[in-house]
Amino acid sequence: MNRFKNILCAVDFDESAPMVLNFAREIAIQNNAALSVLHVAPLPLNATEFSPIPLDPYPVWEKAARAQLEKLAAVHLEERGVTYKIETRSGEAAQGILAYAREMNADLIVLATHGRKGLAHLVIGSVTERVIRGAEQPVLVMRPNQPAVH
Amino acid sequence: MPLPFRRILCPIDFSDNSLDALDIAASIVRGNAGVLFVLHVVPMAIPPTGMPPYVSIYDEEAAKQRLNEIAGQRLAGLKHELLIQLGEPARRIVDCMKAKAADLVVTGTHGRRGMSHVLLGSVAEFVVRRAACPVLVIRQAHKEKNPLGHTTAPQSGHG
Repeated sequence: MNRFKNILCAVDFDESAPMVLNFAREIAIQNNAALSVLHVAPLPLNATEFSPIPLDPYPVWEKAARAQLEKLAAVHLEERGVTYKIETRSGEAAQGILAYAREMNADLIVLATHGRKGLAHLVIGSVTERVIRGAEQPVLVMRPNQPAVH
Repeated sequence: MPLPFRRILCPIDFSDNSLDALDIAASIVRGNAGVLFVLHVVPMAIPPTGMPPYVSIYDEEAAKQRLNEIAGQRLAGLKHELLIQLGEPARRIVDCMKAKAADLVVTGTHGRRGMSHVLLGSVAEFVVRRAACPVLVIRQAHKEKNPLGHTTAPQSGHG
């Protein structure tokens, strides 16, 4: 049986996060796969004010994201006994997702689309679109407000 | 490739990319005893002159044969349903998704129409936008990175 071995779940901190995490968890359990949870934090406009010398592997603006991600993962993943890894990046979301997918050798990308920037039902997020276009691996696109697993 | 879905719709246009998607859909269905709906839409040209839409009966027959052939090769022993529809592919796919209460759509990114490396296929894009259920988008396989490791002999990979 073929199975997915490295699943990348890209999470945004909106109402879609629990759904995406739950789905990714189910898929990881079914496939006995390693799950990596990624959030790409947008670079703050004043990013240059921070020290150019990276004394800290995680920039300040990623720390908040990391904390939030850990909280989400604790609720949706930890109690269900999935082994997972948390990763934060900063910059443009689609680029960050694609770069990390390559790096971790992902064989499936799970993410939600939310068309926040336009007519909600007709527009898929530009991030989603760019990920689909750029990804070499299958991309599972979820919509918020989809019924839960099973 | 187990995924938590049981009613899977896979629209195909007989392009290699769509057949890759079909293989992946089939392996998901195998993984959890689901049912696979394989849809082919025979494109219907609507002439601008007000003439009635024209579909060659031969196109439909040929599509049916091809679909049966593919099902025989790739979907042996799998619960599946073959569907043929006429009309505009993207809309028919979305209609079918609803009619069959699909909980996952597996689709390639582009089929036979050009610009394949630059654009997300217009059909795939429409489907992702309109879908009420999750959509698994399979990009044109780079042969060595194809998750199934093959494109032409689907049976060999399913242990």
